[in-house]
Amino acid sequence: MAEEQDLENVRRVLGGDLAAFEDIVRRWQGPLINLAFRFCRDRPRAEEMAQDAFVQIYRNLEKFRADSAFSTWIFAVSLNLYRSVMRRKPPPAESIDCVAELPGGQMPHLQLEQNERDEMVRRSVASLPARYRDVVIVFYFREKDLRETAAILGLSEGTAKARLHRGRELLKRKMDAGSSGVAAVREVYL
Amino acid sequence: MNSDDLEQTLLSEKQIEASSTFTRNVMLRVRDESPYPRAIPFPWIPFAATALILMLVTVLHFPAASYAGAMNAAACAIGQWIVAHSAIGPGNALLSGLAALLGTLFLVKVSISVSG
Repeated sequence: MAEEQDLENVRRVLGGDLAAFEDIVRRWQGPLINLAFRFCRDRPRAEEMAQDAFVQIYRNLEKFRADSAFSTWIFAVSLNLYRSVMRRKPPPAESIDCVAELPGGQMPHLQLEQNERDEMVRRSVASLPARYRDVVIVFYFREKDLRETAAILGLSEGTAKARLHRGRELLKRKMDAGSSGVAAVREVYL
Repeated sequence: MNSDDLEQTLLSEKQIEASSTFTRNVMLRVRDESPYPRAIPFPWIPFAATALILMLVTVLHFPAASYAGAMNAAACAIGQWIVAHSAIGPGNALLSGLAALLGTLFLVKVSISVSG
C-alpha cells in the first residue's frame, strides 16, 4: 500500500506536480536522516546530508525503474551520497582516548555506563573501513534484512554476508581492545 | 563485549526526528531545481468572496428579480393546469406545444422588461 503510494507520488512528480515530492520527503525524511546520522554521528550534519540526498533523489527520479522497491532505490541513492560525503570529511577516529576524555573529568570507570559504551560502539562502526562500515550500518539499519542490505549496496548476498562477518569481527576486536585499554586506565587511576 | 551485546547495541539505536524546518528547506532547494514552472493555483477565496458580494448586491438592489421568480412559478402552475385538463390527441398536442412556445416567449419578454 505504502509502496503503491510512493509509486503514485513518483508518477505525479514526473508529471510536474511538485507537491507530490513533498509527500515523499515527509514520508522518508526520518529514515534518511537516521541513516545519515549513523555515518556521521552528528545531528545537524545528518540533516544536511539528508537534504542533499533528497535533492539527489529529485534529480534522479526519472531514472527510477520500478524493478526494485522504491525504498531500496532511495536508500541506494542516499548511501552513494553519504559515502562520498564521508570520504571527503570522515568522522573523527575512535580510540581509547575518547574513553579517557569522558565528560565531567571524573575517572572513566565511574562514568562509563551503558549509554556511553553503546555510543562508543556506534562511533566505532562509523570509523570502520568503508566497505565494512557500509554493510554493518545498512544491515542493522534495515533490521538485519540481508537481502535488502545487499540490494541497497549493489552487492551479492554472499559478498554482503562476508563483509558483514568481517565488519563485526573488526568491531569486536576494536571494542575488546578498548575494554583492555579502559582496564589499563583503571589500574593507573586506582 | 560479546557478540550478543554488540548486536543489541547496533539494533537499539535511538531514532532522531527531523527538525520542523526540514521539509520546507528541502522543498525550497527542490523548487530551485525544478524544470517545471510553479503551478498557479485557482484563487478560490477571492472567487467565492466576489460571488457572495454579487449575490448580495443582486438581492438588495434588484428586488424585481424575486418578482420574476414568482412570475415564473405562476406560469408553471398555469401550464400544469392546462396540461391536466387537456384531452390527449394530435391536435391538442400541437396546440399545447404552440401554447408552451407562446408562454415561453411571454415569460422571456416579461423577464427582459423586469430586469431592464
